[in-house]
Amino acid sequence: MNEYVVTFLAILGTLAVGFALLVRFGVSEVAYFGIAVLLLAIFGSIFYTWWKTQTDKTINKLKVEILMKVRDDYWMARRLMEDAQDLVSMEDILQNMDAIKEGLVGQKLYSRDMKKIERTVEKMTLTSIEQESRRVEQRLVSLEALAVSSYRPSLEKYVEELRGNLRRLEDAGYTIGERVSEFNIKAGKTAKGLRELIEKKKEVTEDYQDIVAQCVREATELSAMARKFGDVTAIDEMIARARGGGPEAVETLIEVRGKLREIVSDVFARQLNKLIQNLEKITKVLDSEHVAPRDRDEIAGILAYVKAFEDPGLLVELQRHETKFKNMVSAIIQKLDTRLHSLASDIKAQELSSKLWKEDPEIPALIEAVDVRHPLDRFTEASRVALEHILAQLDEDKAFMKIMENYPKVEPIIAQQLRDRKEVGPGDLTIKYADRFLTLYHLKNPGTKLVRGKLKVG
Amino acid sequence: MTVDEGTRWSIIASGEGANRISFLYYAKFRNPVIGDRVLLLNTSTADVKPEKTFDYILSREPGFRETFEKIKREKICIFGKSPSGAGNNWKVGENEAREDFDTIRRYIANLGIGGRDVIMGITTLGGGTGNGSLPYIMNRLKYGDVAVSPGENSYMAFGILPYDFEASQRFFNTVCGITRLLKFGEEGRQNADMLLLVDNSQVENILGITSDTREERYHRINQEIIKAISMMIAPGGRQARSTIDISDYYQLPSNIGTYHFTPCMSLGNDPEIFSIETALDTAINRPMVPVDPKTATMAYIIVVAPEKYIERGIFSQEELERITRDWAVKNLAGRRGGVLRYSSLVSSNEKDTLDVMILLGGFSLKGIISKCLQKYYDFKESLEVDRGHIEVADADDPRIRVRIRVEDIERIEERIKEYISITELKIKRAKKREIDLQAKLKEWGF
Repeated sequence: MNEYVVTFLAILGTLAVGFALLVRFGVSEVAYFGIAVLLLAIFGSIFYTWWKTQTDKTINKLKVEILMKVRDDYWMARRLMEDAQDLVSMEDILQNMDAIKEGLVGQKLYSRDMKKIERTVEKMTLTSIEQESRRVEQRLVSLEALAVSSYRPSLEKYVEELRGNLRRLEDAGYTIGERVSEFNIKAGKTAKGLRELIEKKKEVTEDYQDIVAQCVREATELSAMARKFGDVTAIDEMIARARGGGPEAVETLIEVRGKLREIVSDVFARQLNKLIQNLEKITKVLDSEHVAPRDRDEIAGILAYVKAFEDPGLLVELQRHETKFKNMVSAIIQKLDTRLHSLASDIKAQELSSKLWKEDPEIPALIEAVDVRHPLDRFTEASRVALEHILAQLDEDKAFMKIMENYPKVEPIIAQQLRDRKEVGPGDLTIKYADRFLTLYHLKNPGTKLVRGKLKVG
Repeated sequence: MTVDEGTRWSIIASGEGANRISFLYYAKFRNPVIGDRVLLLNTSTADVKPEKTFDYILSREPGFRETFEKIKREKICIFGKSPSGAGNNWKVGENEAREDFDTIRRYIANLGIGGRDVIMGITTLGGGTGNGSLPYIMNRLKYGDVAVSPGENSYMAFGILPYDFEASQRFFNTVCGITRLLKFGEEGRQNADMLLLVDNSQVENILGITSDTREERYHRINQEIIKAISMMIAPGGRQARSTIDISDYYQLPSNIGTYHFTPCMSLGNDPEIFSIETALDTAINRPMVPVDPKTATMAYIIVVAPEKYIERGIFSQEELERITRDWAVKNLAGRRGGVLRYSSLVSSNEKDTLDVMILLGGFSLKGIISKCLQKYYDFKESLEVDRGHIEVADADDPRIRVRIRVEDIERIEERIKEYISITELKIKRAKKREIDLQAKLKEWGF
């Protein structure tokens, strides 16, 4: 109902009541009524004014909040568009952004720099501010969509360019295969909004720079190695230039690799052959049941890996694998030595071990001679000799353990044959270690004789 | 072990001793080819307190209690009305089985035996319950109108001979039991398709058992019997390089007319030390009954070796054939190594030992019969003959008494003599000199 109608009806009601009182009780009573009505009107007005002030304050707060959000959204969108400018021009869109800003400032909603909210907004209605906020929001959304549509193809082109550079570096021989795969995974991820696209660009750029830096490091290492075989002053200068990144870094690195390859190609071929020969020597020795299949596989893995090396630029990688090979062989020897010790103490605790088991006294010195700091050939030879002795000793240990373990089953066979033929030779027993079983039988049965390997009844 | 789709086996164990073997199998050595198809038969004694039968094994392996409860609920069939079992009298065992055959048949039907399954009956031969009932049950199942799969199932019997020191009536039972498992009924038809014999004293000797307790000695022997059954099953499976199927086990021996066997085992050999030749030589020196291998006319040679050794070519079926040929010439009857020989190499993923079993067959029963004969006659002659019958009573429980026709005893003797005579004839033939090849070729038209 209209507030004027309500007021009119209230006044009409009051006058009607006053008139009724006048007719019923007389003028003096109506005076009291009039005073009461006046007082009520005064208190009512005071209360209304207080209530109205409070309500206005809440509305103003709301208006400010809406305007703050509009301002923040605006600046965020603007920053994204400015960031996007490094790939594609956003001039038109930024002009539109300026227009939005000017419109808002012109309406006296913000200060000129659009950082502060003007006091004049108190005079504006909440409805009008809300309408303005919605209008700005819609415009920002459509401008961002416009920005995405021009940014996405540029980003794709940019990523493809980086990908191409990395492919060329990889083709040039830099060992960046795994990193490039990771890069490709990131580069293949889909991004929707402008923010995601800009994030993606940042990530792929960082990865790309890291990979290029890795190539620089690789070139530096290779150059340091190549110094022994030729003049690398000019190459070092090129590497220094590439270190700063920049568009020509990739070309420089490719050129550097080519030059270094020429310098180290002879030495690479020699070192590769040498490492393969040494690996093959050790692989042969390790073909034993005492060596864990995992250890054998690891050495075989190195051999297969280096056999595939063709690029002399992999000289550093080759040297890294030489070190890996040495460490691995050394670890295998240590492991086998630990087993030897544990078996030796078990065997020594057994009866008759002194008569049936021999310990190779040379092994400790041979293990001592294996030193990863020695040149490859010397290291391999020492390792080969040590391994042969260790593995032979492990065979010996195993034979002893097997003989002791199986003697209870073999003993009646020998006894039976002795009863039947009075004489048993190793050839009469179709069992492994027959001669040593006969020796053990003889040791356990002093009534028998062992003559030239043949066991006879005494 | 993988379960093959081939022949399935089931065990019917009658009597206390056989029950113990089956329980041990069920609790400890389960074989997928047999699975749950196990039935324990016993007379009323065990009904009162079946725990008594398995007391030792349960005290030795408390973890088996749960299996025991399951066996007690589902796998034990009590038959007969005798107040205290068969009292060491095979005739009582047979009569009780006859009376309660419907009950027994229902339990057997519940095993789910079908198709060409093998039914392996186990019994001790010195007692009354198993020795009396098993030959009867086997005969009814095989030839009666209640056959599980008429004409298709195979019936194997495992008979366990008593210790040398046991009383005379046990050897009387043994001779009767062996005969009734070999031939049964009025017509004396072949009963078990294959009879496997094991002698307690012999097994104890070869295992070198020195334990004082009777239960532990039985336990060790029972384990050996279960291992023999497992070895027998092995060449029927998918992992056999050359299959020995159930029909290979019984058809030709039945045709030849001698179908008694005994296992000779050499188990747990280190394959890195022992050759198959050595394991075979060891096995032949460990027959499970007293036997002269040189009288054996048949041999099934089963070798179970770890798969990796077979893959590496250390053991092969071809090599096994060659080895067993030489071995048979050296060890079996005649110059050509008996008349029937099968060998099978079985690979195992679970074991890392070389296990060998020779199932020696058709051998002279002289060793076994001479062990029994004195006590057989001692007991037989002690019985009073009354109007063509002898009455046998249990010394411990006079309520158990039964009459056996003298005619039946005489028939049993006649049949075992007949079987022995065939066996000896086959041995003699196997030992015969080579044929005159030139004369025979001429006779054949060359």
